[in-house]
Amino acid sequence: MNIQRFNAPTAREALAKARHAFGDGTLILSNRPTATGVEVVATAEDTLAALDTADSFANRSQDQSALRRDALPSVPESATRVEDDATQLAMSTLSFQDYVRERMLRRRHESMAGTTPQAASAQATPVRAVKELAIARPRPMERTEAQSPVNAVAAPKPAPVLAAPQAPALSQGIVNELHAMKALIEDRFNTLTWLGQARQSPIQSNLMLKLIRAGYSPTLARTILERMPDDIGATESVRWVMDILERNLKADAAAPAIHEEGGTYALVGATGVGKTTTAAKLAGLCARTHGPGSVGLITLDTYRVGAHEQLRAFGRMLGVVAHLAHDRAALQDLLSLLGNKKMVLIDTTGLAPNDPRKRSMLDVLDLPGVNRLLVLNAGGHGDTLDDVVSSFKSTGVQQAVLSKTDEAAKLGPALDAIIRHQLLLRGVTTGQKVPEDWEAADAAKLVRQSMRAPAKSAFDPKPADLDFFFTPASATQAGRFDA
Amino acid sequence: MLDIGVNQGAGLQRMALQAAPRVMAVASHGQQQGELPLLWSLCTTLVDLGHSVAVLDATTVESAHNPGLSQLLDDADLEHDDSRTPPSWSVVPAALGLAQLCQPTARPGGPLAPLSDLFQRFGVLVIYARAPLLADLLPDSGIEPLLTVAPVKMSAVTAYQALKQMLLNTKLRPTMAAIVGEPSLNTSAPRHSPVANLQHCAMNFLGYRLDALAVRALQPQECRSDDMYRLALRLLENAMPLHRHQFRGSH
Repeated sequence: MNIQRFNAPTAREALAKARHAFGDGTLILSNRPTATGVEVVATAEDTLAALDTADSFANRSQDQSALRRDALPSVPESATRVEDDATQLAMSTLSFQDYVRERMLRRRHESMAGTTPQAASAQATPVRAVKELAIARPRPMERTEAQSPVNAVAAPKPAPVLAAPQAPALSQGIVNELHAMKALIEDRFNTLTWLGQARQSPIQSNLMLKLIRAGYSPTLARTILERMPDDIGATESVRWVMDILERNLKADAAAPAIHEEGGTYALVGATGVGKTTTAAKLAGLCARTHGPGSVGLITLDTYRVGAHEQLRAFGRMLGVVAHLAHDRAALQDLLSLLGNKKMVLIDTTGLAPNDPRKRSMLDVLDLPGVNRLLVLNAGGHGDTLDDVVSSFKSTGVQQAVLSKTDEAAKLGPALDAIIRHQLLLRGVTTGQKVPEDWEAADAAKLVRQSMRAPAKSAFDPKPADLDFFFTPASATQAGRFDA
Repeated sequence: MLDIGVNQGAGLQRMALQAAPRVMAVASHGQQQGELPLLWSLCTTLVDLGHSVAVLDATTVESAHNPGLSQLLDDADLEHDDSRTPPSWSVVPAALGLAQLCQPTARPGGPLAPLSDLFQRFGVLVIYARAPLLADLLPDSGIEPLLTVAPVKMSAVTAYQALKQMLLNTKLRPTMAAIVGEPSLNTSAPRHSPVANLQHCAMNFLGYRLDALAVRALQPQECRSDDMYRLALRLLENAMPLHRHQFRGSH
């Protein structure tokens, strides 16, 4: 290790000398004032590299106690020196480049020193503890724990304190894992048994395929078919399944339509599902019955380019003013301004389920009297719809509108999500025309529509594929990864 | 799909609910240095919002050299052509014409009924007049006239007079716009500002809680556009549709 001392009247000159000796890769080890000026202790950067190599070698050899013995006495001293060094250098007239270099060096030293003192203190503690314990009262259990180098390094605090709760936590983890495994095995066996039974019953098997082809989830299909009476005929079984679906699909066909009932509704949902168009349709329907003075339009969509203009254009056709609210206070003001309207519709920015802005947007809407109306794209994928419904979930009855049913190849996924999440369907949009393409939500009609035999599709499962639908996804993925 | 003139809102257009111009009012109380810039900003904002605007200015008298509403009422053919596209906005002197409309003649549809034919092509009709005239023109209309309070001497006194006339004579409840400097970002006015004085007097002597909408002035003649949008939309909300031959308020 080549370390040299340089003396000069000023720090700048001493540093210049050091740089002259070691070149650009000069490493300042200390910098202190002396009677004659400034003393700088420096070395070459190669020395540090050699030290790094020695460190890594020492780690690889796992001779930790020897390394600690070497490192321990120098660490506090070097840390102080580096700190002083950096402080002084920062205050001196060094260039910014030099300063940055020194900061980098300091960080490197800190990262090196960060692990060693921990190990050193951990080493020191057990030794002292053992000595004290030996003098006071021999306790074999504590001594064993304290003497273990693994425990000592992992936890700098006295080992007995941590050692006690560790064992139950570990066993609890194993118990949980075993429970999970047991549940998985039970579920798999139940599924296999049920699948075997279903295969033996052609009616169940056919219905299962029919439901899955219509886009319903295997979970819902199985839940329904498990409850199907055994002695039911083929024709009755289809009717029975459709009845069950109708009964579970909450729709408001029998109740007054949403635009007849009135109220304040905030249309929320993912991007591009048709919230603005739906708002315009509802506004048009309400205005047609009760006059344009009965409708209030507000948009919170300050993000999408032209969002306000679009709503305003619809509003102008109706003779209704489309207001813009930037925040919660503005929304409250507008709601009080529009307090005398039969129906107030709040259009919002379309947000993806994972969008971080979603929380703040929903907070703005969290006002008394404001109902959320979730707009769901009927053509959406089942998982996507699930995600959307879960992320926009609110307290109380969750109301929804199914949009773009005319574009959806299958209605099954959307109806499945609505049934499983127990949403109340308030209407269906069937096209782009405002306000004509709006229908009341009729459960029977929608279920019928969803079960209509679709054209042949590449996504349709074959009877032999049924196994795959009931194979846990994680197992499949694990198998694929193993392969 | 490619038919000209057919769009997704054709159904709404067929409903023909949008045809009637909307009437809004701006009360004058002699403080032009505050009222005129605000009226200007209001009109430009309405034009920005896509409305064609006609201002009936009752503070200017029609004459042979400067014809206005009076001449239009006498010779309706001048503005009766519905097929023409209206200008973005036009200002019509209307002191005599509006006074003429206030004459106690039994006119079906109320005092403003003749205007529905004359200004059917416009989206918004702004009546800029003093409070007593507005009280005569807009009885029980539900319109909330805009009352401007500028930070100038006597503004509170004249505004209070206009407020009292409107409230007591015709139950017109004004929308008050307080012109404030840029630093006053909130609507709460300083204790002795003209707005605070006016609110205090309105509450004490008229029992009326007056809410002020702050409009920040960037420069002496310029108001902040977002404040103006808010104000314009609010006034539009409370404006009255002027249907042909069936004069009826929206409230």
